[in-house]
Amino acid sequence: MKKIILSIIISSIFILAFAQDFKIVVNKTNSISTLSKSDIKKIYTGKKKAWGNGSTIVPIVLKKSPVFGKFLKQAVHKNSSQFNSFWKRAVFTGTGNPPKEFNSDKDVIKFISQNPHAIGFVSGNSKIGNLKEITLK
Amino acid sequence: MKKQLLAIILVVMGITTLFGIDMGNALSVHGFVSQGYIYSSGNDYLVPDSKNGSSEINEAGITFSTHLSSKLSLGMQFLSRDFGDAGNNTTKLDWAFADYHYKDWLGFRFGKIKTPMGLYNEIRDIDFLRPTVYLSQSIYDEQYRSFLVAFQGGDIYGNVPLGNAGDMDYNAFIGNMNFDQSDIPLKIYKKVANSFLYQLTGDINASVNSVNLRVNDFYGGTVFWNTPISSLRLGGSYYKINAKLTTPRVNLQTPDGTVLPLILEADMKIPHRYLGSLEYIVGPFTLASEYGEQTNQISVVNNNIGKIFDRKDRMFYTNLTYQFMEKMSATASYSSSELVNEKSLLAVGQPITDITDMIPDWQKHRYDYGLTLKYDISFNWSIKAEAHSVDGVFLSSSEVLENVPENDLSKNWNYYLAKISFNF
Repeated sequence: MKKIILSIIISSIFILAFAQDFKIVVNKTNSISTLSKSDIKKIYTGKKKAWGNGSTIVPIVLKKSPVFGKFLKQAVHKNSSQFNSFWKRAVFTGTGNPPKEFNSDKDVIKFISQNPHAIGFVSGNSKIGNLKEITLK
Repeated sequence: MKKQLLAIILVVMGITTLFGIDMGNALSVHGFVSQGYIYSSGNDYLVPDSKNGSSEINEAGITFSTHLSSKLSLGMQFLSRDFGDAGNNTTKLDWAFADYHYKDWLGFRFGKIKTPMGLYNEIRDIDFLRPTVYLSQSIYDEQYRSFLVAFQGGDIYGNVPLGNAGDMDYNAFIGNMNFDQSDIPLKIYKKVANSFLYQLTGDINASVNSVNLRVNDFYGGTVFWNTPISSLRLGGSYYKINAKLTTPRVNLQTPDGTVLPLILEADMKIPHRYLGSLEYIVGPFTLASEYGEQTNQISVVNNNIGKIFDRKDRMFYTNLTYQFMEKMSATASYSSSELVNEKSLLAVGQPITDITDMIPDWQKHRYDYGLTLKYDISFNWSIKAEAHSVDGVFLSSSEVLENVPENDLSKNWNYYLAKISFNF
């Protein structure tokens, strides 16, 4: 029982840390409301390419922001150098293409609002307009 | 073609600091170029004349990819490389395939595909994607490159969720491969064929200038378990090759002056090559380690002569990389190649003999200790410097045998490398 309570506390702290640094967002028409940390990691490493309804996931990244490093560390468990190498490897072996890059919260929000299958992240204090924030389970 | 490839890359080097050229949603273009330098204190290791320093180490590649639909993509890469006597900057199709991603757990690739094996085989020509200049020559041996680098055929792949146990990446492939006379395995087999012809006839002139190698069976697969421990991957790889080796017609001169035409035919097999792999990333540290074994066999078909060569090798390496600054890392490496046993035909008509004990110990192993510094100058540029101290020569390294007379071989020797790479 102690272990369960401890793991709930640790998970809560982890999820809280996610929530403070960045928000993971999708288009408001996306039926998904929750994702696991494992799902997020797989989406950003090209191992999960389709939503539950079969439509192709379009991951994007907010590149020129301190949030980029925090997101990679907490959600993908890589630093920026490892993330870049991972995707360069995919490109030069023909096994994948890296997520599209954006430079500001505003650009991320605009892209996702126009693309029903996209997923991205913005700063924790950013107003996300009519996008849907994903809850981590 | 080589000039066009280099021209495109040089133009891009001048204008870009980004990754790739995105020509709308239709086509992505990426490329790389790298140039190295090697100096060895002995054995002219891998690159002829490396005892005097050599810059015959370079690669340049250009990659095109496009999505025809959400599930179907096409891609291709052209590669020009020089590695001592191999490559000589002839531009070749490195890979080109169609990829149908049916589900995350099931996809199909058809065409010319980089062979999935171990941690690094698919990126063996892409310098900037690894922490060291040379990959461990025990596992990623340049002399077996033609057998390892790519194949024409099909590949089934996917990622299978394992619940609380993490997930699993897999590949299963089958296909064929082409060789040309500059490939090191063909050089080795030409030597084996000429040695056998001499044994058969006692006539030094009974030799061939080329051999033909046709692969009949080639298949294998990899499984990588992404464990619940974050960034710990464990994997296994396996492959098998059956090929037919033939020589051009040789006119054998008998003692009574009669000429007997002969086409030497042999079965060449790698009955198994398997690897176990581990990769663990903890903070700034990356540990990569692999162990493998491989068997090579040659049997002469003519007159049911049978097996003339049977050899088993054992290989291992471990690399520990410490990224002590965002752009800088240091890697300590240890690589070991060992002959387990070798049987060879000493006289036609006799069974093959175990000659393992006849080979000096220092020629049966190669223990290589290395240290590399890598600096990522920018997102597009990187530079590496590397030093190795080596014990032994592991005489299956044909380049050592080809370049250096046996009595000039060094037991303890060093080699040093530097390389600069650009990619976009």
